[in-house]
Amino acid sequence: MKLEQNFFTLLGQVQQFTVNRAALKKQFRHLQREYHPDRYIAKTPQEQRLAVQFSAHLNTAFAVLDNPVKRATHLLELSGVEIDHQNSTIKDPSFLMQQMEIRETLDDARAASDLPALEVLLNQVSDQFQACQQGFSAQMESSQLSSPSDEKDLRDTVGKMQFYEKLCDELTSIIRSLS
Amino acid sequence: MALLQISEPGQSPLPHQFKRAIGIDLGTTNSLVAAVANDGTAAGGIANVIKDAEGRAILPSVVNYGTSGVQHIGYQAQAIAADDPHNTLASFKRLMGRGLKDISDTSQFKIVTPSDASDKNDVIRIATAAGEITAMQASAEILKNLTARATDALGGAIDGAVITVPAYFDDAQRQATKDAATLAGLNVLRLINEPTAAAVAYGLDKADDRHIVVYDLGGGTFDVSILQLSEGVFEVLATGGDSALGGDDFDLAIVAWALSQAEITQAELSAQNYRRLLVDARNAKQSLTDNASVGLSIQSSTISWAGELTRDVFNQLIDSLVTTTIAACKASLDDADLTASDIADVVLVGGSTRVPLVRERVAALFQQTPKTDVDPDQVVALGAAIQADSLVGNRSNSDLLLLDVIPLSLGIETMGGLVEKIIHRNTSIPSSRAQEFTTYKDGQTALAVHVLQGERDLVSDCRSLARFELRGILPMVAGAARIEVVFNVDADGILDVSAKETATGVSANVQVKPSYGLGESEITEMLKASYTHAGEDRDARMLAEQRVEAEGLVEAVKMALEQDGELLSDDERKVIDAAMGKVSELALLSDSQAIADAVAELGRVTDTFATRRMDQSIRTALQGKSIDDVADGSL
Repeated sequence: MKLEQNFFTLLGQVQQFTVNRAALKKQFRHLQREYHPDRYIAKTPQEQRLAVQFSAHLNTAFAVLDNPVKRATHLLELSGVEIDHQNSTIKDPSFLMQQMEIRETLDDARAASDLPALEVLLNQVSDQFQACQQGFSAQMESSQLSSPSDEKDLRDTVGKMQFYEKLCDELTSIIRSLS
Repeated sequence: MALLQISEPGQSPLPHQFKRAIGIDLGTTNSLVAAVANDGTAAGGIANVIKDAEGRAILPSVVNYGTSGVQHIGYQAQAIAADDPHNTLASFKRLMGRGLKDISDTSQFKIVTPSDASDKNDVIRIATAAGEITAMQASAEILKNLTARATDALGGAIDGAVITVPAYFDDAQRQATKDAATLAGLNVLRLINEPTAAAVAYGLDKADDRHIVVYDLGGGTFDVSILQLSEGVFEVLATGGDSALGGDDFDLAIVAWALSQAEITQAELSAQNYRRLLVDARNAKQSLTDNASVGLSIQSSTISWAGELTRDVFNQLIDSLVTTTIAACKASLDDADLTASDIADVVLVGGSTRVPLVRERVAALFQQTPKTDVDPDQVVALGAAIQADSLVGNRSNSDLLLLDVIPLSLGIETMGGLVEKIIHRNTSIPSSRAQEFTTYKDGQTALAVHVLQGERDLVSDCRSLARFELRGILPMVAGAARIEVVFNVDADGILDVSAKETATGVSANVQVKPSYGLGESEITEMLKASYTHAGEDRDARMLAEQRVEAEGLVEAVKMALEQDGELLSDDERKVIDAAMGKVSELALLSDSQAIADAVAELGRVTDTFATRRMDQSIRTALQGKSIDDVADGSL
């Protein structure tokens, strides 16, 4: 079976960073309603197996487009830019400095079980995450992907998004464990 | 006068036939079976619980074994449990798919200590008069009993069943449930989560977009699920709970209180007297739902104690247990990124939700009166019956679709005893993920794959699901081999793992040995043994099953050919027609192996056809055309 590897095409969305979540979800559900294995109970075992495969593929596609970091990575991959999340490093000194400051505030607030301070920090980090996403979207529209410097900038922005995402997750779980 | 209808040549002349589909709630304490009474309308009929000859809906999940096998089941087994404790199995759902080290309290079971660990896996075996019994076998007895009940009520063999499992059940526990169904000779249409079934029973699938919490406190398990309903699709956003917490623990809290009041220890009571006290404690708990206090006593040859348990004291005894459930509700809300005020409906499931303190605390958390108008003992079985009816196609216009998630992360062991997660919890199923690994030493030709489930980072903190070895890797320097491990989770939440070396294209055979499940051969052995006990003719039954499968396949292929026959060349069509003819021909004879071979061959020759059909269907769907247009041939 041919599995469409462009998740934007698969789920009927324009190939760009900004997605309409409602439309995305609607198309995903429409396709699941047709191809979920539950719809193939009376079919041949071969067809049932294909339905499981395609339904799983739809789930993967939706999970990627629904998450900003994964969506950005997929967009770049479709343009031929590979991202190795584990081995990428960010050298932007001001960004690294800012991360260290956030880290210190986080450690202090956690040590003091200072819930309000943690919530303020989470709001700040969420805002920065949002801004970073908007930055990526703008960069993507104006960039020349054939240019190595533009390519590096986009890679760095995705790396920063990943930083913010991890921080948000960590803060949320600390706040959850304290409250 | 009505006009006579004549069907088009080649189209099915048979009127739409209803299939016999049932829903089974296989519970820790009680089990039930339900079915939809089909009235011939497309909207489908109403689900009803099927009662036994005495008019009782519930079958207590209790099995009593004698020297010649199952002696008593359900209420009868429960009645003699106190007199024959070691041969009477209850609450065995807690042992499904589990190993000895998973179970903190096994005092109620006479566990067989494995004498030879080399040939047997870690399945818990209980010594009874009928020999060693596993939880899967005891569950199979419950399933058989309920299926027989349904067969009588529906007037014929059951085509398929939906069986419910706690949303929290891991892979091994789900697999164990399917194994039990295999042992009972039951065709499982789908395993669905108990809370999802409850929401279906309340008809919440017909409501507008909303978030629903299902709080399910049964005899031995607690589940909370956050469901999202949108455009007729149910999604489980988050699940939480505790697979070893339930109303039985309320009973145990009362027992502990009584023992301390009487100033005695459990060891001072005989097994019979302890069982009796447990039953009294359960009755006391139920009585406290409507009464402010209840009397309780312990009587034996050496002990005589009587006391009064008030609801206030009972509330104190169970307070920490109820608090645990409320904390799990909050954690699940967090997982789903929701707050209590986002919840439109709260559904209560399980007999233990009749306890007033439980209702109060749940109402306080979600600031609304929870739904209780469907019997909390029956609601899960009723929902399962509705889903079964929909899956077999009895309700043609049903838009109901359950999209489920995996409850616990799946991963494999890497160097240093760490777990690398491959599929994260709350990922939608079915799911397929591949991850690459490499060799650790120069010249390494084999790789041990250890599959685990759980959220923690250390192997020792997660549940071991299976181990297998990948052999035949070509010797290379360390780190040069590329081993792709693929995790496939099906719509029942059951995992299948495969591994292959991709750098050289060498793929090696993989054998998964379930850590806490029954092996293929063991299931076959158990099936043989059960036929001997039941005096059934094994060959006759196998032949009947083969015929049903053959007919089903021929029907499905015919339908596919009618719809998309033009996708095949004349030669391809001839091959399929021949294979189909052979299956039909052999199905009339009595060689079940020959039928099985012909069925496999028909499957093989229709493989390409199935793929082409799927490709065409998806291509059309992605272009925005509806599937109906394709089926109608108007493409």
